Amino acid sequence: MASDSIEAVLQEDAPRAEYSIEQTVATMRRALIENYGIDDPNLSEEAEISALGLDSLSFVEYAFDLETALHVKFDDLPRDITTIGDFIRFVHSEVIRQSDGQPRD
Amino acid sequence: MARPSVMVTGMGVVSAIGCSVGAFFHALVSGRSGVRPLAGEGGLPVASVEFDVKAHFPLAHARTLDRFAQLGLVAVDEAVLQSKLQKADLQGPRVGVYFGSGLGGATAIDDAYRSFFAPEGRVNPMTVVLTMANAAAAHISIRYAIRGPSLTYSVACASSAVAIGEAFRAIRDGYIDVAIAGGAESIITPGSLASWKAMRVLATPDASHPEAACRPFSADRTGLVVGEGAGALVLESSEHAKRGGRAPLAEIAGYGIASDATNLAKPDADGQAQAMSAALVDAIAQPSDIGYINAHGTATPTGDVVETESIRKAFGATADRIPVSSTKALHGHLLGASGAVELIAALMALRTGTIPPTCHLEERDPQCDLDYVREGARRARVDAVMSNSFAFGGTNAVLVARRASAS
Repeated sequence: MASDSIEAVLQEDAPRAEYSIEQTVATMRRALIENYGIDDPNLSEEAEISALGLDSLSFVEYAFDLETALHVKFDDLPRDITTIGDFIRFVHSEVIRQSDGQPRD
Repeated sequence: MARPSVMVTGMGVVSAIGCSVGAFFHALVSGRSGVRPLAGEGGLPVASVEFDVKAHFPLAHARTLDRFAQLGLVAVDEAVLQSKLQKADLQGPRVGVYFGSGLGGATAIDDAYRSFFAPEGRVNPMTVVLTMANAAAAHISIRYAIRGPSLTYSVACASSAVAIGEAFRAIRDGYIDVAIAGGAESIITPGSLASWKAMRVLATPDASHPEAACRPFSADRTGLVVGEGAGALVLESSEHAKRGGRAPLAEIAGYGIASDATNLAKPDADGQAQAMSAALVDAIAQPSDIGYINAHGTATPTGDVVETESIRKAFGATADRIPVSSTKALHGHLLGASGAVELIAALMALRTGTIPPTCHLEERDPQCDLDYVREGARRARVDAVMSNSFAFGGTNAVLVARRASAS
C-alpha cells in the first residue's frame, strides 16, 4: 500500500466536527439579510414562513440561494413546511445528508 | 355622441441624460450627451442609465424585477406623481396599463443562459417572471392595483409608441378613462450587444469624441447607439381629468399605424408616410399644423435617408418648413422605449416653445435635406407635434399631439 493511501485512510478516520444547526441558521440568516434586506430579530421558529416577508416565488428563489450558499441541492421543497422552524430543520437535514455532516460553507 | 379628447396629465422619463422629465429635457436643449464608451466592449458607444436600484426599491422587491421593469416603474412613479392621481383613483376597472418593450428582461435572459451553460447548469427560479415581456406592465398593475387591461406591446422599436396609441384609442373609444402608457427597455448586456453588433448597425467607436458617436442625418454617421431607459405617460379622458381638477399638459390628438410589408430590417418610405398621413387624418390636422417632428432618426445610413423621403411624401412641400430633429444623438436608441421617451421630448417642445436640436450634425447627408434644427435649441411657437417610431419588422407608429388649450 502506498504511503499516500495511508495518509488518506488516516484522514478518513480522523474525528470530524459536526455541522451544527446554528451554522445552518447563520447561513440562512446571512442570505436573508444580504439578498433580501430582511433582518428581523423578532422572527421565531414558530412563526409562519409568510412572516419572512417573501412571496411564494421569492421563497423559491431564497431556497435557490441557500442551495448555492450551503452547497446542497433540494430536489423539491416539501409541501408540509409551514413554519420557519420547519424550513430550518429541512434545510439542515439536507445539509447533513448531502455533506456527511461536514461544514462546507 | 362626441368621442372624448385624450389628455396627458403626467409624464416620467428615465434615460442616460436624466432620470426625470426636467433633467431629460434640460439635457436635450443644452446638447448634453449621455453616450459613453462601454468598458470591456472595445469602447462600443452606449447610453446607459446611472441608476441606484436601492434608492428606488427594497432589496427583496428589486430581485423580482429585471432592470427594464425597474426603469419602467420609476418612470411611471414620476408620471403618476405629476398627474396628482391618487392610488385610489387608479384602482377601478376603467384604468389600464399599456406598456411596450422590444425584448423584455434582457439582463435576466443573459444571466439565465450564463448559468445554464455553466458546469452546474442551474437557472434562477425567477427567470421566467423576470424575462417575460409583460413583466413591467404586470408590476405597474400590481403597484397601483390597476384592475383594467394590463397589456404589453412588443413591436421592436415602435413598442411604446404603439402602446401609447392603443391606450389613446381605448380612452377615446370609451373602454377606459385612464391609462398608464409608455415603455421600457434595457438591453445593454453582453448577449444582446453581441446580437446587435452582428447585425452591423451600431455606430463605430470614436475614441476622440465618444459622446458624439450618434450623428443622425449627418454625412459621416456610422449607425445607432444602443440606449436604455423608460418613458411613461398618464392619459385621461378630458372629462375624467376635468372632474378631478387636473390640468392637462397636452392632448394626444392622433395615432397612425402602418406596415411596410416589404422587409424585416430595411425601412420603406411608403409604409412610414402612410403612418404619418394616417396620424394627421386621425388628428384632423393639416401638414401645416405640425410645428415639430421628433424623427425616428436612428443615424443608420439607410434609415435617415428613408425617413427624410417619407416625411417629404407625407408632408409634400410643407416638409421644408417643419423643424425635424432626432434626439437619439443624445440619449441613444431606447428601442422599445424610444417612442414614449421621444414623444415626451416632443410634448416638452410643445409646452416650452423650445425645439430640441439634432446634435453632432455638422455636415448633413446630401440626401437628408430637411430642417434638422442643427444650430442648437430653437425657440418657436409650436401648436402641434408629431413623433415617429419605426420598427424592425416593418411596423410604423406615429403619434400627433397638440396643445391642450387648443383642443
